[in-house]
Amino acid sequence: MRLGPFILRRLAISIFVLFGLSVLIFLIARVVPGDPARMALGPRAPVDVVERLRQQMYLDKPLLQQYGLWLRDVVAHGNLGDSLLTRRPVKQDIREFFPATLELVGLTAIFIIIAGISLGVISARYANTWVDKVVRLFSYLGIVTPAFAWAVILMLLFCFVWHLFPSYGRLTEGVTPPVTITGMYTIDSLLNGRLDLFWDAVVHLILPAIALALPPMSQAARLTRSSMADNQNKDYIASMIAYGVPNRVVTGKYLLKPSLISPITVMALDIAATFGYAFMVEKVFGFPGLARYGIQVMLNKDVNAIVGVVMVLGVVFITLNIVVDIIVAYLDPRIRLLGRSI
Amino acid sequence: MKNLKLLLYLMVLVTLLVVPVIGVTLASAVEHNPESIVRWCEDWPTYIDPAVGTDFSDTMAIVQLYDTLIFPNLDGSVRPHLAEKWDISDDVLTYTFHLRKGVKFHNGDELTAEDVVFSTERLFDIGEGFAYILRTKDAQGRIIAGIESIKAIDDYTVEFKLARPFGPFIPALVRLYILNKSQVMENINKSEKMYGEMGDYGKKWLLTNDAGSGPYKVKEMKMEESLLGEKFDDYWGGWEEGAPDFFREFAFPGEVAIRTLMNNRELEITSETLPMEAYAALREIPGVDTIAYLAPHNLQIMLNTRIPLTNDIHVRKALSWVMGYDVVVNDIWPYYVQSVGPVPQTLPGHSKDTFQYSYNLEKAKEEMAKSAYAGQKNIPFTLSWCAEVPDEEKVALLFQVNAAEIGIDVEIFKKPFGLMIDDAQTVKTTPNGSVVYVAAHYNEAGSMLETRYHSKSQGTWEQCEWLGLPDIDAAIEDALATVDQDERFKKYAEIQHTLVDLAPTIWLADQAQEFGYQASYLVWPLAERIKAGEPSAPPMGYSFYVRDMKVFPEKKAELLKK
Repeated sequence: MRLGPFILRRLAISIFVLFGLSVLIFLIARVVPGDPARMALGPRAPVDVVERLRQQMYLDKPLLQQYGLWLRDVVAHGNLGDSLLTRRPVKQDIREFFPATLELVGLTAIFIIIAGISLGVISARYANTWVDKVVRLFSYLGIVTPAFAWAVILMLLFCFVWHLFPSYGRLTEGVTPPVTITGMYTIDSLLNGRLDLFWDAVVHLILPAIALALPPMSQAARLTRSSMADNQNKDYIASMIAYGVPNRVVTGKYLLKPSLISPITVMALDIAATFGYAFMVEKVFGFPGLARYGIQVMLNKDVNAIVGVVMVLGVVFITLNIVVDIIVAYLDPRIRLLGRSI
Repeated sequence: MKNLKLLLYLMVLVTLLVVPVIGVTLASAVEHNPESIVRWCEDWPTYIDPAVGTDFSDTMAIVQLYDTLIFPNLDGSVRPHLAEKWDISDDVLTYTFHLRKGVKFHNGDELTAEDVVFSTERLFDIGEGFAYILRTKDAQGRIIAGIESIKAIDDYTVEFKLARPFGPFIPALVRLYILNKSQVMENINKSEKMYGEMGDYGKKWLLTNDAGSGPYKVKEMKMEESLLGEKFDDYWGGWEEGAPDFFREFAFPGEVAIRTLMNNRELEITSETLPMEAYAALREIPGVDTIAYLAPHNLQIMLNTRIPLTNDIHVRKALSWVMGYDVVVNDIWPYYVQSVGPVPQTLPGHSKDTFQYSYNLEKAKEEMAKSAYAGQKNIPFTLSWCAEVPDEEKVALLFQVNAAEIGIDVEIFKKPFGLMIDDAQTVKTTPNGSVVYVAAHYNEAGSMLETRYHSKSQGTWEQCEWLGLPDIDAAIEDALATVDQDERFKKYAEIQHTLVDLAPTIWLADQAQEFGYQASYLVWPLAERIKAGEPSAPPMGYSFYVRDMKVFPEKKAELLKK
């Protein structure tokens, strides 16, 4: 099957998935105990003021009607409602917070893919030697240590002791951000022709990205190594070696490609999940991203923002799943030719 | 081919080594923050609209941007500010304030009585923020206390009429911040209908802008991370040498980041929510010191007086006698002091001779023996503590151990504050005990007594006791209506003694707030006062009044060289 129809079919299915997700999260956000209007206004606000806010948010209406009104606002006006936490449109919040997390996760993804695969290849190439053991030890350490613990360790070493990296925020304090085009400071500064700002933004991303990348990178290294070890004993590899194909060509071209299928699938899920669990790292580094915002709105029962954040994460997961399927189809021609998963 | 590969490897190596160096060099070449600045971190987001914000972080920002009619001193007294003087009518219902002339808002407009009227009406129309301090309505919406009406007599005279006498009216005015009417009206969003023809009352605009006359104005407000304020050169109160040119308030990043920022001199004052060991670590940093002062807040276990077991006064007294107060103030929070009754000791109107419970197992057992539940077992006792304050769990566990000594089995529940607010709405859902911090709304004992023990606060998290005693209500109302301060304070004292006899609450400790700060290059008036041993009771937010601070960038530069 060809790529175009495949993507269209997946997009069509995605609409149903997103619809189901919206229903689920909408209901959950509203049935969890706690009055969002009261929580937003504080316990001392008069009853009539709380009631006014409840009416403004349609909280006085039946649940089904609330969902209908919400859906109408989203579809007709692209309006996700107002956030009780920031007191402004959820759309505006997401427009500001999402790019911050996107560029953080983007750099994290680069680290995961490059370092994860490289370490896995090295480990497989030098299997059962001291190199393999060192990489394995590093991987176990990376897997068992949560990202926020890495964040604290990296901050203590590289910010507190050695003063090599900044410890807070997206840019050096007092620096004017670049003119907003995408919302990602790295991209926007390049588009604005400001190399100094670009590097300032990158320097602020490095430590949080490494902290986020270490656990999934370690997992990717292990998966790549074991996948390559499995394929190592296949007949076609033995044939290549028997034909005198150089080792690095066998490894790089004939062994690595089919071995990447499961690591890439897992890495994609890990990268998508990073959007959600990045909140602790964002908190440690004072990074104003979507994950930190998401946790805050959940703790404050900010019903509109909860739905907005979860929907954005849903779109991210769906998009990454589609991208992974395309990559896997490229890596394994059998899938493409036989149209197995497409 | 081999040479080509070698060249390629070399190019990659050079790129990997050289590019980061260039990058870091370029990054360090970007313009840096101003040196004459005071920075602190707090909970986020922060609402700088004075008709909306009520939290610590909100007030820390609002006090820099806006002025009030009167101004609180650090010892808790007040002095004239925008109002040069005021007259009080004989029936103590009418207050006439005479405004200072020539006060400029940040946009250059002059502050007049009309702005005071507008700010007050806006506060009450919106109904959020500190409106509850200055006006109370009954269930039918009738004004029963506080400001009934306000009018501008002329450009510099404004008259407040109260619904009934309110003794602490003048101190309560620290929460009436004056906005520029014309500037707010220019920025009203009329497409929003929440306030009728007033649209959104400028709320959206005031999220990220100010319309004040205060010593600082908003330079940049990023809702997602920080507020930067810059000095208002035309401030009517003038400036002293060394006052900071800027202040910055930003979202609390976590303990490790705070230590790093303090070490790197990128933060001048920490938040007050760090664990004890963090403050000890901060004191190890050269030039950094810590201060701790008793705030007008206390930590309490509110006992529900309407459900078994705690509906029995002897059980409540038994629990008051068996509580391990020493553990709370010596081990859990060493800077805290045991409360003396329901009013924090730094609050004006606190009665020093109020009876104070102490751990006494014998007396506790005696009281239990007198109770209607003596000898009974398996009567449930539920205790909730607030999940957002992890150290409260220690208090809950301590209480559980102590209560077991007199045969009471306590079941502990960790609850988010939002759920505690929900639970407090009915008698049945309110647990036997609730571990809660409570703060005074304005700087006087009456604030604490009214919000904690008047029956109108039943059903809120501020009164989980469900006391509902008409005598107490009448006594509180009478005290608050007494204009003479000495007389009023005597009445407060009687109420405090009565409450201690009723034992509806276990008053654990007055909260001490501890802060780390850059003592080597920051002069912080509050810190100077505390080190000198002088009593300090600033209302929330005013301890961070930047205009009175002094910062010495050259001293900071010396520290950074080391």
